Amino acid sequence: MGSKEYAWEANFERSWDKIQEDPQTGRLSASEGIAQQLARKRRRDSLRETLRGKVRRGMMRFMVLALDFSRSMNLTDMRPSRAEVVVGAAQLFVREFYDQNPISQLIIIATRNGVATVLSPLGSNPVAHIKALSDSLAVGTFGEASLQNLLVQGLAILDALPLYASREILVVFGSIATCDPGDVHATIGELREKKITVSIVCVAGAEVYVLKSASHETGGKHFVPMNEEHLHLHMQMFLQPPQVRADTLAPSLIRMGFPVLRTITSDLPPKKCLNDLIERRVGYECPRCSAWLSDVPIECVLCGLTLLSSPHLARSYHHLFPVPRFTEKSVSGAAEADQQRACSACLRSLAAGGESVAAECPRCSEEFCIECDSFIHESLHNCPGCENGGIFMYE
Amino acid sequence: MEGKDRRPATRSETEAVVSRDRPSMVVVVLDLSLHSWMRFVEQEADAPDADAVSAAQACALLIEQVLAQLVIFMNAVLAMHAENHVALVACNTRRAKTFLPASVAAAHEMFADDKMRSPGAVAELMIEGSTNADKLMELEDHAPRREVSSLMRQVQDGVTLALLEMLDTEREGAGLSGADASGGGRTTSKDPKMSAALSLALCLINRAVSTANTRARAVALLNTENVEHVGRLPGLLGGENGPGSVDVQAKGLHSNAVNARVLIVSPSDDMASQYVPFMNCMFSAQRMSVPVDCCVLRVKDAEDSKFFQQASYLTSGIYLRVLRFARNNTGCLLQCLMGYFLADGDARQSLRMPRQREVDFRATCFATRETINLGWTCSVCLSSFRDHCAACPTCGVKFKLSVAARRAMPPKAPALKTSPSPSSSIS
Ligand SMILES: [Zn+2]
Ligand SMILES: [Zn+2]
Ligand SMILES: [Zn+2]
Ligand SMILES: [Zn+2]
Repeated sequence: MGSKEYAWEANFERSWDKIQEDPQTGRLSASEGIAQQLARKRRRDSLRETLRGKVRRGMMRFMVLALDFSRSMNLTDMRPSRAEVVVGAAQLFVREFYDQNPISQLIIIATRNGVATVLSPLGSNPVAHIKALSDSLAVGTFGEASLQNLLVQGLAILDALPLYASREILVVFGSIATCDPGDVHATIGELREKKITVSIVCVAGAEVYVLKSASHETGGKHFVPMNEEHLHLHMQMFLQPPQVRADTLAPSLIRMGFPVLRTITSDLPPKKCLNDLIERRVGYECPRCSAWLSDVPIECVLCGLTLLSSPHLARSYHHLFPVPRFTEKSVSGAAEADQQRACSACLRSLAAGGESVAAECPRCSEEFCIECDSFIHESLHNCPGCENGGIFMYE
Repeated sequence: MEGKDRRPATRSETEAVVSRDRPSMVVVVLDLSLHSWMRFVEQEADAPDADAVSAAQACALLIEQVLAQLVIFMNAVLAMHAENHVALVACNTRRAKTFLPASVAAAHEMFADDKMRSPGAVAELMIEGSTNADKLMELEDHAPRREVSSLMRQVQDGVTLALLEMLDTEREGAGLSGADASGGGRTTSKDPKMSAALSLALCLINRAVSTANTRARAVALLNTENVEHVGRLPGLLGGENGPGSVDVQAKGLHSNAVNARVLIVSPSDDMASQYVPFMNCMFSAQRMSVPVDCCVLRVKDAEDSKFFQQASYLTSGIYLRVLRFARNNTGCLLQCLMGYFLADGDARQSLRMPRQREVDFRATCFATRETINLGWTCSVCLSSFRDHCAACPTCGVKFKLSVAARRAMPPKAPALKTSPSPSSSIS
């Protein structure tokens, strides 16, 4: 981002130069510049830095995503309209939320015409949420927005959920006024008492007092993005599991079942999945009550046990055992010894292009090339050297 | 990502974009842990020639046979397409090492990526020349090149020897056992260093894929004759991370220019101590659309491997258990390799490939390393345990619930209008 914090501060850009065709969908999109990629890498680095400290995070989250679908979202200060940009950002958010928070759940509510309605019920299926968002956009944006109705609805939903999970409301609000039936501050007080955090992303282009106080009072965050890129950035902040204060969460052990995926052989009749009542040959059997279910994660319909597959949990384990940040070392092609240095993962010569940079793992002292450094930290989450060196940090 | 832990339905939607004739890169990960291979020798210990040949020698002989078959397989991969590549990573209980490419120079030759190192370099290359044809020629000059015969020979001689040497180090290590603890790490684990081998394999694939993607984009650009825009399109030439890494996958562009896959050949049981790094590898492979094929060798009706089953399932690879594998029956391995694992990802769509009837998704207890189908999961760090405990051994958090409340868990959450769960009255 740097200097271009606000849209009007940006230089006149030949924005068409950045346009790129997505080979899969054929849609056009702006490509990411190298500077942005660098900034993104730094941001990730700092996020990892925070994680490594003794900060406890609520891996299990229940989040209410509350969107403004009122008249004010018709404005075109973001192209093609506020509503379309916000729905696009929300859909991207939903997708990444489930990827990064494997056993968390999301519910989407919206306000239009002064009332709040549930767009898509609590669930762990991002596809349903994404479709609901598109459907709602097609219905249109009209009437007034009501912050209080959103919050009351969010409170009612989250209050019924267990305390071991972190409970959050994320409001994306575009109006500068709210049409409330009562005292919104009373609702905010109630939320604070229930330890539900309210975070606000205000796309109205200006700070609104009541929004700011709602997030302040409940310990949430408050952002006023100035352009579309800014909005995406701020939404991304809510992907990471939130830091948890010791008093807000009741940590507990949750009973969970890990069923085996089975196929019923053709000599036996298929069984009806107890959830959607469709006969299937492939499915899971609840380890506690033997109910036949077609898909996990799910709460067992019969006994209420949370069923998941162990990979669902494993997806987030790299948060627990992060690869340390590699220290950068310069390699000059001149020295004789430097010529021999190579990346210990991909065997790339570290001095090939004359002067270059190597990354050293502080734990195992192996050297890697910069490409492998990014790959290891952003995708692999294992240091090949540490894995090789017999450091059994998982035991 | 929809259905992130499910087998992606098909790749037909990407098919239109990807040319059918993509080259492949196959990284073979060979598990050389001696004690696992010994099982195939021990089971025939009562055979008449058991005394004549010592068990260890018999085992070395067996592994030599397996290697010979792998070499045939790798050569078959090379013969399938002029630009196909193979790599070989082996591991035993002490370490993992890349054997093919055998050296830094060999890797350099194999990937041919000196010009592809940075996006800037490619742009330079493309502006240097005068006509498109010249530039294409130049790119062609930097295409990965291999002397088929030399690589085949290399696989045959050098690698076999080196691999057998690796076996020797393990044999010595086994003899020394605890005495060498300082050198070989604190724990003398019986698990092969599979997570290390897979990490190396994926780093190699990342390098190959990002190089090939950059090249493919450059060629595509040149062919569209919009050369005057080239200098201004850094995004098209791949960013700082290379086009094969995360930012491309984040946008869902799974049309890699190289059809990379991993083939694990292992006689070992699950490596319980490596669950976390092993799964990290699998999620990474899944994000890169790299199928992980698993060929598990078993003596008799031994158990399935939970780890390898999950690996294949998550990455849409093939899981195959070779039963009744034995010293006098090594031919069945080659049959399986050629029959099931030779087809690349594109070809597999039109073939009937073995499907997994059962996938064991049970968790491993973080404390006892036991497999559990019903367990307790810490709500803070998500580690799972067989037994209830007062504080989480992984993240150290103290659990607040009383025994009574614990019995009542889990609440019939998260339905909308339920009464407050038992846990909400405490705290
Ligand atoms: Zn059940
Ligand atoms: Zn490297
Ligand atoms: Zn390391
Ligand atoms: Zn824990």
